[in-house]
Amino acid sequence: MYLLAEAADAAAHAPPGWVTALFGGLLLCMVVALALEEKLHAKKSVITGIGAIVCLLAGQALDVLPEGPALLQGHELHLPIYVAAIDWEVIAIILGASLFVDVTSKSGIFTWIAVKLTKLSRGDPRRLLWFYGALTVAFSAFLNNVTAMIIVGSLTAVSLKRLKLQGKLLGFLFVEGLMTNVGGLLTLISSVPNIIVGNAAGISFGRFFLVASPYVLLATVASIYLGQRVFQVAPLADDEARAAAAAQVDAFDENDGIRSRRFFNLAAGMFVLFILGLALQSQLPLVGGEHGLGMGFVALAFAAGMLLLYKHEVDKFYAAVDWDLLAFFGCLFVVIFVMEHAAVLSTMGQGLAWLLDRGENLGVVLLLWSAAGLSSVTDNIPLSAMLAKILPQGRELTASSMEWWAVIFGANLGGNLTPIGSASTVVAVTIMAKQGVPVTFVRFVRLAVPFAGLQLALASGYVLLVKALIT
Amino acid sequence: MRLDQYESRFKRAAKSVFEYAPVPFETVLLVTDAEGQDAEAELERARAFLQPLGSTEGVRWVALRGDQYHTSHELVALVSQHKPDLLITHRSLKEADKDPIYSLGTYLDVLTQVAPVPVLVLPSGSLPQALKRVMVVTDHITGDSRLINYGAALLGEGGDLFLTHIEDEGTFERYLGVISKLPSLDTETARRDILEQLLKEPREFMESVQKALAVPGAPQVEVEPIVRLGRSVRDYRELVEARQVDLLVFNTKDSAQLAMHGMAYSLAVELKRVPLLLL
Repeated sequence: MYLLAEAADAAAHAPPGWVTALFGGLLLCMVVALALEEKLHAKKSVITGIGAIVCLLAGQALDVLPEGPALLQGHELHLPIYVAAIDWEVIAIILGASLFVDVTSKSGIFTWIAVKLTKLSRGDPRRLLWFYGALTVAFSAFLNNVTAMIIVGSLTAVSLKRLKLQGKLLGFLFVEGLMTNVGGLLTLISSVPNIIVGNAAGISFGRFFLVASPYVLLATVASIYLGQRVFQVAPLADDEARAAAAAQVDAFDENDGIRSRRFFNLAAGMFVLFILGLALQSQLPLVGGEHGLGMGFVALAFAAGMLLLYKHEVDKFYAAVDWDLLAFFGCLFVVIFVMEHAAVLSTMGQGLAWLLDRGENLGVVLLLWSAAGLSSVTDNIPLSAMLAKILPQGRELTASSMEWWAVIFGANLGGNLTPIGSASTVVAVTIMAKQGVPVTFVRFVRLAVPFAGLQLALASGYVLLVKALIT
Repeated sequence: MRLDQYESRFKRAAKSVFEYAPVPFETVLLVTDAEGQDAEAELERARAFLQPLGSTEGVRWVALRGDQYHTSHELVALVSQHKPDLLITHRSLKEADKDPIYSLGTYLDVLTQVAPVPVLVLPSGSLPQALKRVMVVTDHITGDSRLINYGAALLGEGGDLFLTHIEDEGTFERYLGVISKLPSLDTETARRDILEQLLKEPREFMESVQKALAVPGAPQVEVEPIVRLGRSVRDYRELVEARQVDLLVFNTKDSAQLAMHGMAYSLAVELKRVPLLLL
């Protein structure tokens, strides 16, 4: 992010208390509006956009915003404050990764993997639950949570209908919805909170994976096992049923969506290179290091490479980009920037300090559960963006500090507590309703509490274990 | 939107596959208006036509003579008593006009509606010596294994089984006409994609028929798929003539109705010179 010339002196002219309270109220209004997004029938970008406009006008009127040019490595840049306030690295990662995944998916590779796995299950419900659960985790880790839920959820609806297992559809979709947020913990690019917090903490892709992967494995096994028990997903009883189910899944053609074998192979190769590129980015010449081009550049470069295959119709892919999400991020960064200068974040930081002062270990666990609780009722993106800003205030944190991980685990797993806790659980609930197995808010929470409780308990223990091992 | 796209991809990948199942024939019942020796001769004529079924051991061949029933109620009761696996009859039973225009006759009309078994309608005049070329006709062949199993079961070893699926051009154009008035849908894309999918499904199903009938134990017949967009009755008539078809097999009812559906009735009344198996 750019430095603003006056930003360093922000503490010097801290705004009066009533100004901080006013901006705190504005922030609260925006957060509530985001939580009620569905009720308001307004997209996130519109809500945060209005929030950003109001905050900027109020900030300007009350002399909260810093003045002067933006500084980029000592060079002055004349950028509007609402441009300089945005973390463009995060935007570049999201834009590049989503474009890359969108073009790659045209090759049919993701549907191929999903159908192949369905056939490997031989149509056995219990095996199918484990396979789909694991597939959701893998897709969430390397694509994004929403795409993973869309792919696995729609395949689940089609395959269970074919296997005449519609009675198990709710259980399958529910488990998959929860697994998206577990898989979303696996890599730095798996979810937006990871990107925001990881970026702020300076955690590399490789380190993120090394720390997160044992927990993801543990939580995946525990959650699917619990799902199997809660939703009574039993294996097929006899040979006749097994043969009939196998015949049904054998009729799936995994090659149906592949229009060009060459493109399919190329996409598979590029996907592996993309993951490797992100994993090794910090070590690569030109892109790695403090002054390197960064991970956003890697994501955008791979997207541009794949778009070359569709060079005459790139506009279709541009149209498919989730502009609402990108505009939401842009506006959110602006709001947080204003809040920072209105001393709202430092005030919130005092509350956070109280939490962390409860004890070295208890403080981290309380932070994790608090982040989860807040994430369950509001969007985890503004939450993680604010916590990423607040956390380092007055503390000596490094990339190894477990406070970062408490926020990452809490912000991701908190989405599993309610149907509005994360974008992927919203998609899961949408698929349930579309397939004729709607769940109410209360029923979802009742079903989700044992799963989320288990995942958060495991995460608490895991964070403390890693903390003990590091220190 | 993306949710629907992926669901469509998986639905596309979930193919309908032909399932071969032998058709059991224990009792074949001929319903005729002939009496005495004429009825027996007619039964022999049908047996000769239906080779190899005609010479299969263990099949009971029964003739229901014209003097055994006088109303459609009596006929239906007698048919129920015999519990046949196949009914053989002809048009205009007990009617003076043996070559009616656009009519099946009262008795056959009733049989096609109430008989729970396939009805083979023989034309008046001479019959082929044996079944060599059978054409299975439908405008929704995908998933219709029963129709094909009957066609294959009656066909002799090495015979030709034509699987035909004609997607009605009139209906297709009518929907395209509506789409052309909707700004949210691109007409050319819709024309290309809908037509491709409409013809892809029957083609794939027919490929699965070829595979299933190529295994040992299945009827060894030559399968020729015919899939295209056209005008149903006119095109079927042309195909029947061009392929010199000995037997035409088609569905007459769907699950939602008792009476013959539109295309089946048109084929049944128009193709009077060809034996028809109505399922």
